[in-house]
Amino acid sequence: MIAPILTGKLVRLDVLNAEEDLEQWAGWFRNGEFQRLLDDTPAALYTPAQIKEWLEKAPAGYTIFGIRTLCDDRLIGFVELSGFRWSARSAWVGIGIGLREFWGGGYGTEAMRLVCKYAFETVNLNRINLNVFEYNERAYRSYVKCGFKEEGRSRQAMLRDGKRWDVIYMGLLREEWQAVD
Amino acid sequence: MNYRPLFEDRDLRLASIDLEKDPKVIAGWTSDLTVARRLRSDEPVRPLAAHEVRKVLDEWVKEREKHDTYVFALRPRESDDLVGYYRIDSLTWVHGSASFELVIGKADDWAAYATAALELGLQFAFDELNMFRVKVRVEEFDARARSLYESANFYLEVRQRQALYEQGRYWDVLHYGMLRPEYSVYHQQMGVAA
Repeated sequence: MIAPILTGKLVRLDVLNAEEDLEQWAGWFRNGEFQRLLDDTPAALYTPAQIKEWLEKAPAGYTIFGIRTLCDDRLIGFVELSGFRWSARSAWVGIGIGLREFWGGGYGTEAMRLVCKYAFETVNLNRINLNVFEYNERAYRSYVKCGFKEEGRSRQAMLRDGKRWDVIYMGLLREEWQAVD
Repeated sequence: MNYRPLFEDRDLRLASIDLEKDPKVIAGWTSDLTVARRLRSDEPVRPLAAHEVRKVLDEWVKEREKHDTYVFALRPRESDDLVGYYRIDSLTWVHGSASFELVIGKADDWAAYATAALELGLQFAFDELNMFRVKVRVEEFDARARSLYESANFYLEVRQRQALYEQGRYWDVLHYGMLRPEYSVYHQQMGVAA
């Protein structure tokens, strides 16, 4: 037997069930701060049905997990792999913790470690890309803990509240992952 | 008001894409897989037939109507030949940020027109679209593109390690960026040089 790779000490990665989960997902987007940490597009609101439709239209390979706590099986966020380049064996990762009380508690970091393990050890990728916004310091620290290295910055690429912020590019290579895991 | 020529330089002009004639010419360039990758991101990368290029160009022209992309044919000032294309995409209007691609099919044409094409392209992005910044992605092995952007004083912003596989090995993908204040300096220098 092989050990289950989608389960950690605080959380596990699980399927998102359209009916029960998307209602909660839609609720996370009511939080403007969540949206500003997640995406550079103007904040938008979606119905569960719209989210479901969007997920069903996602391109081949797109993989999304719900993040659930081990202690009470609560859905607290999601993590996704997208933009696969099979020749370069790379993909993009994105994560969002929708419930504020789970920010800063190590839940996101563990979920990211689990999805990296999955990406390298099951999907057999060589490289994972991510973007993080300069003002999202908590996420930046979390990604560094997971082994991601900063690869540069799109300088002043975002305008928020009258100030310009960098978009930071980070990458994690398989060989680096093996060193930290 | 400044009414400098928007679409032409001494030797080169930005023109509309000819959906009947241009696909065949561009398809001929796609045996260079670096060009093929610019046209279509789905894998595996391979040379494209004219009808496949036509489909891509149709899509770009449609996106132009939604202001998601702007694409121009590059033609010599005195002829209708196609030497390349310039395309602005990933337009994020709220942040004033965009990416562009500059493709020139033949090596001789690159030497003759790349500098002018870049100058016209940047002028459109900064002066017409009012972008605050633009960026361009370059494969590590594309020496002529790197030297074009470096001599225009683009800033090497990002090096995505091992992000591309070609010729049996991994290569880095480089992102070069230019901000509006940097464009002003570049523009002044180009004006002096001309």
